[in-house]
Amino acid sequence: MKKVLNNQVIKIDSLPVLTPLQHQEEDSLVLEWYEVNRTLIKRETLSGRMIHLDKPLSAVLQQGTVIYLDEVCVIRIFIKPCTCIVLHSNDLELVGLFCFDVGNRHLPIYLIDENKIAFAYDGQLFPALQQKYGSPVTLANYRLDPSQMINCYGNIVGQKR
Amino acid sequence: MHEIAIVKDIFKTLEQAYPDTYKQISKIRIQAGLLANIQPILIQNAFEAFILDEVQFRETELEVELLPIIAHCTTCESDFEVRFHRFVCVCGQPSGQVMQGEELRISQVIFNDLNNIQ
Repeated sequence: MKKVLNNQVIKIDSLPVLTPLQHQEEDSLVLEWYEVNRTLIKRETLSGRMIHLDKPLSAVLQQGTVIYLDEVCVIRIFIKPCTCIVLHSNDLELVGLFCFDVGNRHLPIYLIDENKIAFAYDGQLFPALQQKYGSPVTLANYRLDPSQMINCYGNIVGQKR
Repeated sequence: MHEIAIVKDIFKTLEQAYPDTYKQISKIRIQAGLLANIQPILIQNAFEAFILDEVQFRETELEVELLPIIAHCTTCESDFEVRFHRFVCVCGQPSGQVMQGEELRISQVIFNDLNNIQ
């Protein structure tokens, strides 16, 4: 059985506002892309620190977000990359239709760069979208970060700050 | 789109399975295959909405594990993982015989007293 570092639980109910110093040990809490909205996470960090994160509703967990720091360590969020369905196109009408189809399934869409949008791979949806939109639809690995999420009323990160 | 109903069904199933202790559940792990037509983000969001109403589960966690698609190759009689939706075995033969990826199941339930029931 894996031993929890220092045999203690780090309880977090608010995110630190201080900036990490240079000398602290870097540690990561690894999340799947779909876990960033979870309000309660009890999990070990990569180095084995046990975390009880009781996330305030207003907090947004992004790649690199510092969730804890003390004199010894700084713990950041690490969002695992995943396989994504990607649409690469300069055709705004095509992009709009694609977003409509995906949005109808209530799935979050991410703007990877100027001409590329992505969302998490789904084995049923991918062949249907590829059949409808053809070669602009491909698969690739990306990290789906909330900062890239497209929202009807502006980016979610912008709203919550 | 049916994720709220799925979350309610999960709790109904657990209530039936553990009528005396289900309110002591601290963590539920579910496994969803990539072909199951289940969206993990919608399951997580539905769960967060569910515990707003069912406050006795405020300290309960729901973890979703996505299962990769595993197919079986009848030519070399081996199973292989389907990556990037490529249903082709390492031996080069295509196969759509899915062994894993279509399931949705409760894989683990952990209670507050740390008794682990699988």
